[in-house]
Amino acid sequence: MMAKGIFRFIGIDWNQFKCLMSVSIKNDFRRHRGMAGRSSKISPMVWSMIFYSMMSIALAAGLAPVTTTFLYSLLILSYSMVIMVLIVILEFSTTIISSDDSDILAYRPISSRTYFFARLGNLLFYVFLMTSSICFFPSIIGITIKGSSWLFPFLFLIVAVVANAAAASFVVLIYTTLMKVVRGEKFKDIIAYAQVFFTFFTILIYQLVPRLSQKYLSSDSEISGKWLYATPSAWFAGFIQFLLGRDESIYILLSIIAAVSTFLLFFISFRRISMQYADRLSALQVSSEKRDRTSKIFKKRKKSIAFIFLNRPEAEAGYELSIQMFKRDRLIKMGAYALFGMPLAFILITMMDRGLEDPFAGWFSSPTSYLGVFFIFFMIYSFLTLIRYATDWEASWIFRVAPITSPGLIYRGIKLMIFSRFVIPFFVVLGVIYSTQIPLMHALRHMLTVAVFGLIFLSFTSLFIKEYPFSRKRERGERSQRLAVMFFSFPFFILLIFVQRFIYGNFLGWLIMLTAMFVLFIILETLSVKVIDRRIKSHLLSRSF
Amino acid sequence: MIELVNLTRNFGDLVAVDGVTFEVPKGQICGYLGPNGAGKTTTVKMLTCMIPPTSGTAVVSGFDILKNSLEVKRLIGYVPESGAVYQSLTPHEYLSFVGRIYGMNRDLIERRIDEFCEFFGLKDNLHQRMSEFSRGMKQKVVIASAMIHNPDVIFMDEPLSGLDANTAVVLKKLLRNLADAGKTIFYCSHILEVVENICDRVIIINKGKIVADGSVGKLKEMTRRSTLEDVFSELTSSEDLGEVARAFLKSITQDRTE
Repeated sequence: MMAKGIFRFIGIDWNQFKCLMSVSIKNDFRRHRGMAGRSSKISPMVWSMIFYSMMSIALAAGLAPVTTTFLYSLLILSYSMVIMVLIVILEFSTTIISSDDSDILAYRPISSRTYFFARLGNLLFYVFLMTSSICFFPSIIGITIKGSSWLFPFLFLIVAVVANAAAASFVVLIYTTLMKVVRGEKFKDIIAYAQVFFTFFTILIYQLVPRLSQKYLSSDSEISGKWLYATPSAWFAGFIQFLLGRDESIYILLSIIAAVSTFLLFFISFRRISMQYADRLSALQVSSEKRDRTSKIFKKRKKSIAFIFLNRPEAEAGYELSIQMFKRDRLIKMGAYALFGMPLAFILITMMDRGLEDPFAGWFSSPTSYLGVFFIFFMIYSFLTLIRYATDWEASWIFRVAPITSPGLIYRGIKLMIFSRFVIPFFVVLGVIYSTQIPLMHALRHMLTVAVFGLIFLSFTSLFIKEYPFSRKRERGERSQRLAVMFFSFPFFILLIFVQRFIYGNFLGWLIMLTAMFVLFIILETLSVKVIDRRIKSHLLSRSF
Repeated sequence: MIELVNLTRNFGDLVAVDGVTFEVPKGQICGYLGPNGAGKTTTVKMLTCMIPPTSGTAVVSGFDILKNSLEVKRLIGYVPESGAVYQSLTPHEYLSFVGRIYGMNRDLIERRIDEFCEFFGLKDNLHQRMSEFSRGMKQKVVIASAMIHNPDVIFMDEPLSGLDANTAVVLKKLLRNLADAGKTIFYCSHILEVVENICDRVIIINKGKIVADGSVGKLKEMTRRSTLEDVFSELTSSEDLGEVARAFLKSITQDRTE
């Protein structure tokens, strides 16, 4: 009754709010089961939660013996808030903008405010689940820290939920404000670029906090510094200290900042923008701005690439379709751009640490030197995952009725598009960055080696494809699951380090090895077309329509 | 019941609906026809308060679509062309959800669900997820969701799409009965035989402007054509469609592939 009264006071229809919430939660947990070709009974959301739990246990177990409760809270909260922000950025398209909602709810008598708070409520529920998976075990492990108390797990968990909700809400606030300020097609463009910035910035902060606090590990002195006042995770870590009864001025001040910022975020900002939210959403849906910025030069270049590498109609169709999907499909576009933020941030961090080291000078002394390269595997893997989904996934019926002799060739076209339009430009940027740190020829040779290795990885990963591209509906948790799967590319990363170690010694050896790797790529690519053909055909046969 | 005055909607430079003015009284089934891109769906989206007009006004069930959009939405039902539903829900869950959105009590929702499922033959599928449904079955749920709250005005965009012949017949009879009971039905379709059959009045829109308005008989008389199909072609196409078809056939049968 009380909740009902409060909701009525702020202009929200309690009954509508309740049923919108329950339907959205049902949708989140059920959606994957009804989808074409989906065999797993466990939702991607559950997989992500298991993965985050495992990661946080490892992190907490490593930190607990060498930290104070404040530093421990700071580092774990930094980790969880960064993960949360990344999840909301990656899942934004299924969390805030829902085309299903617009189709089904736009003509129902739901006020903008009720609708917005229902979406926000759904997001916070999701945040609660994810925070629990990230912070539950660290909160228990926190008891073992010197000077901790039995109250710590409770306080830590409660504050972590609030901190993560504030982090998620911050992203929502930025995005919805953008939605309000920028209209239609421009919004879609800006949001794609904003994803790169957000990811970049988040990773940067995530890497900076441990570096700034490194000297305090295994030390009796408590962490301090003005930077704490500018670090959101430190505000909430300070709040935990305050709740634990530590009344030093720094914790009181940090607690005040945490409380004020959370209050401002939840109550003032959202209240201001929620009234017009649904209108913005429907405006986004009906936006019909038509643009064709494809220049004649581009069209010519596109034709020549297709002419050189693809001499089959299926491959050309795959190439052309994927170009358009990456340009026009909002979900794919946003996912693709977000991928660039992470490697760029890690490269910058590596440069700030010790600089990019010359791979021709022997074993790298810093493991982070490999991170930029490692993320190339992540990108390739992510692109191949990205192309499984589309807003217009239902249009994939065309693949099943068209006389396609080789589905693998469609993927060949798509792989060429991914490599020529995303991976190569990234390598060029990376090569330029490397050339500022190491000799130009070394940078060039290194990039060439990694590029060929990337090609091998691209063909290898595509061996596991079993469905037509753009044929699945996006589901909540799928993209954060991808974030988790990234870590399983690690064996390839190790392999690359060893290959580099042995072939960078002399030029001729490198050239022979590079040629051998290229031949391996051609073999794998030929094989992948056959394997994809077989897998897709048998998958279609096993499906019930 | 529905009153439009100079209703206009622009998308950038494109004028999708251009100063449309008409009235649909209570108890009338009004067919709203036009070629693709003529402005039918845009008109309906404005009348259902999904998008605001660029200029002009409209009143639905006594409420202004701009000033009282929530009141309008409470009194209307809409069957969208997309036929979108939350496919991971069952028909029972979905219709309960829609009923609660309209503030109906649980007993009434249950009763209506039973009635609609009986009517559409969905009893056996009531607790089955709609992701497993055919297009026609989903369409039945969409139609039920548009009527569950007993609206005064029902907007329908291709409502027969995907329905089997028997359901289509019974739905057409239901629409007639609803109109006789005082409900206003705004019916958009490309199936001209159906429109001719069930609509009291037909409005034809082309390039955003109304080009004809009247009963089927009146329109036939006005254009001196024998069928609504001929009337429609006469008013919305400047070419001889038979000749266009013959020329096209000639073109596509020349070579299978180039």
